[in-house]
Amino acid sequence: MKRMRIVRSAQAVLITCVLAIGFWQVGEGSWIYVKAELAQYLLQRAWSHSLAGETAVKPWPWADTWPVARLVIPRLGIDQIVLEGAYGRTLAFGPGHVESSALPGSSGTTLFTGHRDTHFKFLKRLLPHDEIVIEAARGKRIRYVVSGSRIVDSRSGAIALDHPQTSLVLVTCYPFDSMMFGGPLRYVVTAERDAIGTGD
Amino acid sequence: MDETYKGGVEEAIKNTIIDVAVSHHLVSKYTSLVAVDVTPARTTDHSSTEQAPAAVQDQASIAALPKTATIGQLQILFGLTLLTIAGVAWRYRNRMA
Repeated sequence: MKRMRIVRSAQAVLITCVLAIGFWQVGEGSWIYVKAELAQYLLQRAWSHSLAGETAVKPWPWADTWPVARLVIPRLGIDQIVLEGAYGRTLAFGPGHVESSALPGSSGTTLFTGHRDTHFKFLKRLLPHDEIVIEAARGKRIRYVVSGSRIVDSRSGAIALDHPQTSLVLVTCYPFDSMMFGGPLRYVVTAERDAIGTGD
Repeated sequence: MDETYKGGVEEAIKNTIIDVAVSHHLVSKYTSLVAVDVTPARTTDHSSTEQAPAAVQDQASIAALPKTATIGQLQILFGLTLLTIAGVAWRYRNRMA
């Protein structure tokens, strides 16, 4: 009888542990998506301060990055704030501007990367001739038109940054709906500056 | 060296000291030690490969970009699996005991 009681309490402890780990994992996983959404609200606020003339406005006091551009895709209803630096720590909150590429708003190739399952999930819905508007520092707006997309193997491919025209390159991981992460394939969308519709 | 005080010939004593010191690797009034590193840390014939990245500086290697997928989905799936296991185990725990 006593032995049975021990077995029962051991079972209860074990089940509780599995339950706790389960809740923790679900919470942790969901937090990634919540954080990605929540941060964008704070970033929009920081961006409006940036437009008002402040430079390198930190979206929250302990942030180690700042918004550099606003990415708008009218057809898909996308409105995101792009952060300086494309590292894991910045990509959790928004798409990142690759520091070695041209600054948004200046001539040359600008490179943005984002998580394929949060901010840059929309990349698969982006079609040629879609309009992308980048709002850079001091409210300067640049219109780009998507010229094409391709899948690149990151072990061999490279993106030329010495493109003569002002272009925008968006990079995310591929395939989009795969559970697995850390694969070698990347989805690359290229957009060229639209010379006609360049507003101020 | 004490021979000089005893009136020995300076030149002869100096030569003797140098002979002894060199053959036994000693530091003396006339000799010292110099270390020569015969295995350079960075050989010069590798300079071509070191300079290679400069040539492709106007290209961004995609491999250098961060991995852009989160473990969120995997974590949620793993968590839900554990919750299911816990639920099933709870349901049948009396039968197992």
